[in-house]
Amino acid sequence: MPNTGQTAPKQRHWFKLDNAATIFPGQNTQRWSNIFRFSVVLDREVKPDLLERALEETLARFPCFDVRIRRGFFWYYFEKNGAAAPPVMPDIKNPCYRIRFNENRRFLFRVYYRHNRISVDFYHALCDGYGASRFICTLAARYLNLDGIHTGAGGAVLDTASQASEGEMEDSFERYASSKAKLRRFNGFAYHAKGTRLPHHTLHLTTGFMPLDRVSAVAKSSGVTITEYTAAVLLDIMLRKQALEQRKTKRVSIQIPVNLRNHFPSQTLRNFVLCMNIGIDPMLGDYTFEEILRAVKLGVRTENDPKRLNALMSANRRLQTNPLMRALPLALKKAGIGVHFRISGEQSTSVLLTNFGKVELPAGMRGHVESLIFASGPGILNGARWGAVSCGNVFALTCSNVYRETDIEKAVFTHFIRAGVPVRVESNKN
Amino acid sequence: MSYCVECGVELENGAASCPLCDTPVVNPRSPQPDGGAAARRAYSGEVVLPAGIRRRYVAFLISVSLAIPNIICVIANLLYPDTGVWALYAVSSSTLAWVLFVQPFFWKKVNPYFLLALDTVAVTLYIYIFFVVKGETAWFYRTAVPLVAVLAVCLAAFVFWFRLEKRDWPRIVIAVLSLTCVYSACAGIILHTYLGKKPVAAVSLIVCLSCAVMIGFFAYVTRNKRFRAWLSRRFFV
Repeated sequence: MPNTGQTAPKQRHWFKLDNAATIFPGQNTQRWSNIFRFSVVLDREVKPDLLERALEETLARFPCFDVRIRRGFFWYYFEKNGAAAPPVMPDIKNPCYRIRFNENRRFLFRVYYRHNRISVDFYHALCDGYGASRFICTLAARYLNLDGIHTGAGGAVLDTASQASEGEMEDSFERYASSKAKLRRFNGFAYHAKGTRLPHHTLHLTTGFMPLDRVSAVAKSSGVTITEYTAAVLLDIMLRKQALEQRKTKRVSIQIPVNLRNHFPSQTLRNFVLCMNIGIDPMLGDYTFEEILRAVKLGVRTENDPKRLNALMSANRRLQTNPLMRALPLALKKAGIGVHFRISGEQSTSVLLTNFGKVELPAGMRGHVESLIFASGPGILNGARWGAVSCGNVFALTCSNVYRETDIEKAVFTHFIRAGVPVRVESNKN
Repeated sequence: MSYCVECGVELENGAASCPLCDTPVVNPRSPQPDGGAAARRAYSGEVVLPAGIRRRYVAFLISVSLAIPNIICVIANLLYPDTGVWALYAVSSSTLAWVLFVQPFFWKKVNPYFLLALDTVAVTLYIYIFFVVKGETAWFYRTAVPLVAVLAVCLAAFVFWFRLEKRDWPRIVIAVLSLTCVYSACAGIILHTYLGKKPVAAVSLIVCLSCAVMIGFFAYVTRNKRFRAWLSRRFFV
């Protein structure tokens, strides 16, 4: 497929981390990295040798994934990896465990397979969900091609015969951040559900598969989108959980990442996402579910505004381009980011929900993909983080929970069942 | 295909219990999860734990960094012997720092009593070097050795108590304060005996009284849950 109006890429041996990615290496600790997982469930058993070949060919099409992260004096940067593709491994019980830059042939993603599922754990500095979906769908398509199925390209599948465009590798924050407005960034401390921590590097990953049309009908009957509906369900559960606990009453808020490509045209496969924070203060009184729905709907529509988003990304960009900040050695920057993340990172959000939306696949591939699964990695303070993605008529909602207790997952899925949506559950528990 | 009778969700084939509520699955058509279905589960049972911190490597780097200036000091001191044995101070101080802070990272798993004994010997030897250089006799055997020995016994008692079971932080503070009392009393007695005075616990009495007040406060914190909740609410960071 020819590149649509995009310039051919220069041979880049190194490039800077994008604006959003700069914070992720600073947040890295021995126990935690910002990792998320995208999986594609096929209609056939995955053969590892074919998957390896597919990965090699796919990686050649995605130069921004064929990188390793290096430490400069002032900033981290990406350097062309050049090694053979990362090994394809049988899937494990504890996905999304922390990444170390010198493991896995220094690639920043790990590829797994189990039965009919291909999964990739991505380090967030590399890409956001959009880039990840393009990568894994192209990988799955290439796998099917090697298995004798003609899938074609289109939608989330890129043509492996074409070259990556310059636009796919750009830092779109740099292009679009232009606002001079200043918005308040910290929304105050929020409630965090507590529980018995699972051992480090382990988590409960529970996916609920639901018919998309039924979920959509339930959300529509309330006059909201699926994201808003799910966010309201989560906020409602958190509010009720907080009321049961005898702790200081705090604001309950949900963090929802926004794909900036919806507002600012971009083809980048790297990070181009910002988070909005929708909160409810229980000190104002008791909220019914309908009131929460209304609050979330209003909140999302206020926050999801290109001007506000531009102001937020411009503030982040200003921080990156500040001469004083630039002159700080990396070690100091990293320490600063670590401290800032501890103080304000997850402190202002009770729960995270990433709804990736519907992924379109080429017609030749649709019959061979049963579903997609998107899992946000586990949080530090936010015990349970949620990810959702739709493909065909399957809406997959996944919870990554670092606590032994699964009461939040149970409350969410039983809510959907009570609303008339059948839920099939898969989990790594037991 | 089974459903959870508690949650109503459809469960994957071979599930022994509901992942949401742990309700056991009893399906008359499939009495027990058979091996084939269990093997088809969505996730394998294999847990991959990432490699730990390369502590030994870091400890080795620190050791080399410590060794280089010490070697230079020794060579310089040998070249200029008229300047005294000043390199001895530098080398002994570095060695003590290495034993206390770097050497524990070379062990994969080490008995804390062994480390404590090693540290005690290192501290005693460090003091002994000054004693030898100064040429004085009495203070080392009559004050330094007993003080270090009592401190080692107190620390060993703390480690023993700490390893018995997991303690919450107010109890740990109480234990530390109690040992501070004991140590200050012993130190008072040792110093007074050395100075040839009556072993009156004047200074240690002040320490013990201050500690006793704090012990009382923390004991109250441990017992009174409401007060503890109020404290965490008031002083949360």
